[in-house]
Amino acid sequence: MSDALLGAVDILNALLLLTGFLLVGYKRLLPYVRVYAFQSMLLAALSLALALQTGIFHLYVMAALTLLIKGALIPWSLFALIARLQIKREIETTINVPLSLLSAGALVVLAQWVAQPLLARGAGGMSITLIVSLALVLMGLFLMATRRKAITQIVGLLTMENGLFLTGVAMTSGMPMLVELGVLFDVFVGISILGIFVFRIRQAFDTVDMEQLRELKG
Amino acid sequence: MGALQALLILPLATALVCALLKSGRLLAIVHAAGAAGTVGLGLWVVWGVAQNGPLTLIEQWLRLDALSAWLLLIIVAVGGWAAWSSVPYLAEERRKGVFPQTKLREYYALFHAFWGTMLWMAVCDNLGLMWVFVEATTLSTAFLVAFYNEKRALEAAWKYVILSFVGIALALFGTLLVYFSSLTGLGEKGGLLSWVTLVQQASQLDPGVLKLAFALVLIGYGTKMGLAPMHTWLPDAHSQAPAPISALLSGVLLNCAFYALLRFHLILVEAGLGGFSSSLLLAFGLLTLGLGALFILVQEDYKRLLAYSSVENMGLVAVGFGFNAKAAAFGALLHLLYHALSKALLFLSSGFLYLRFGSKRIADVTGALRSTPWVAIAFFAGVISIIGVPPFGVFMSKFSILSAGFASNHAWAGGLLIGWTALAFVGFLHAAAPMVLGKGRDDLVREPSWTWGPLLALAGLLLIFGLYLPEPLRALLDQVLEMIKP
Repeated sequence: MSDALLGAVDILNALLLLTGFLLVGYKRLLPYVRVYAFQSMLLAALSLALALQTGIFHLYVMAALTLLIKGALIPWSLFALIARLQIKREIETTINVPLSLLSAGALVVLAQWVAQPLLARGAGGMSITLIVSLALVLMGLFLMATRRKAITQIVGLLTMENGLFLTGVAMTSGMPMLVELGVLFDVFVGISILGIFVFRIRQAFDTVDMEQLRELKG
Repeated sequence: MGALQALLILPLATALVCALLKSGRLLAIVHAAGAAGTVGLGLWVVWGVAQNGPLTLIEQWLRLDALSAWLLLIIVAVGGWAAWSSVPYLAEERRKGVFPQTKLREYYALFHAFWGTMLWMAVCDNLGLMWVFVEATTLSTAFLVAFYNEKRALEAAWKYVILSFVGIALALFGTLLVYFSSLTGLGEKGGLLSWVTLVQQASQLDPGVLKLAFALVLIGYGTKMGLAPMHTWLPDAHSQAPAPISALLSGVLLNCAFYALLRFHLILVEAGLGGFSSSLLLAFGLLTLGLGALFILVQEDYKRLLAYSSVENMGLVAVGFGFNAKAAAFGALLHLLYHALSKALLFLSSGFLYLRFGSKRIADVTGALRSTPWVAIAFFAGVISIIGVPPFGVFMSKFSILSAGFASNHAWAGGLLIGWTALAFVGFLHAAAPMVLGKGRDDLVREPSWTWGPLLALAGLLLIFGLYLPEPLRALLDQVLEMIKP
């Protein structure tokens, strides 16, 4: 890999990890979605860097689609949803911010630990990217487990998916193209459906706090 | 165009036409024609595989072998019955004004889309593409679970989509790891995640990575098939959906998720890691079986009872493959079919019970035999079948799994199996007997035969299959068993 590209990948790795911490630390909704959009753009840039280096055609396609769908289309619809629901309140968490950040740090260590056996088996080309990607998956899971608002859960899900996409890029230069396209399509449709549900839930329950959904038990 | 291509296109085309039509008579006709075509083509394709063996549609991507055909048969059979019963069921609900007329179109369009995604999933040779279609089944059913659009339905649908999404994301990770192991182990020869290629080259894949991949896939697809402790969304979603959709969710979609898991298990078996994957299946299966049985015992809502019974039965199927013996696998494969048909019968007839009694509480339904005799008979036949009373087939499939378990030195697990299924037996009968036989209101209403006709026909089929499995199906099962070498 040329030095310039290598440097770029390093910076992108660092920024991607930063977005994970920002998501865990933020308490307001709008910056939250902005961070997700930024994260997706970084992802597109990283795919592009790898595409330039390897010349693999489908990485160019994925970089463009990631930018278009995850960097623009999905954040834009989430902004529209927030505006229409007029959600202004802060994000309510079950764990406070310092403890959340501390947990996020622990998750990075965990990701490092999980990545070791894979690195030992030849996933060494982009070792830092692999660790960052696993950390993002874990942070996404963490967000889903600790955040109560519907939209923050959606962003948690999306972060997890971004992490998985990055894992694919780091380990195998992406999945076969048709599969990647299918996954992207599923994610887009899935997020649209969840968005519609948020809307209907707001109408039926007058809240988007998922802790309030407790009719079904046993 | 071959029959298989037509089979894959027809449901999606029907869905599209339904979405474009106005809710009226023409809609019902399109639905009926589409469903009849799908069932006909499906049976024809399955017959072809039983006679001539596997059929490759697109190298590396789409292929129909005996195992896919077995799943295809279940999808087509249960789907056909759900489609048939949908017409009277929705007509009755419309008469009661449960949902607005305009939603009929949505229902039929999504019904066929759902059916289609399952069929596509069954013919995927490519594990990545299979993931895409498993996720597509979640997406196409989301609005069906939320069909009634009330609080409970929305809550169930939200949980369903979110939890399936998380679960299946882990399955994607597992799939990615398999791809990684094929690239590092085989390079270009590794193909593009084609199952056939992976099985052929299984011995050259890294065992450590494969084990990790299987654990992730087990959690991932296990969430979708209702393995404990990831099953929590299942009773909600299956009890809130309209009855014919519940029948499809419980009878078929769980099988689809298990099928996806099974494909990975077979790769591990081929790689000499069958001991690892089957012991995981056994452990999770026993846990699921036990939890399902316990929840059956304390259930007050009969649709949730049926859903927990599905959890229990999927546990049993996992145990069947967990014994890592051919005879047990045979029992588990049979059980997939018998459970699917029985559960479809139960959910469909419980839908009509709900329409008659207006409550999902077990205590509110008493003496159905007096007030709606044919539906009650169909329901009770389903109960007798699912708890494993001969001559119904479930008795045989459970017995095969159990005896193979003891024969393969799993005495401890076999003992647990007996205990848990006995518990489920008692719990189910205790709940269902008063519903059907108890003292009821003597207000017999003549129900038209087109409402209960499909139910009795299904009960009849179940009885026949218990006594005699047609020759092509036996041939198909033999082919599947050849693919499974413990």
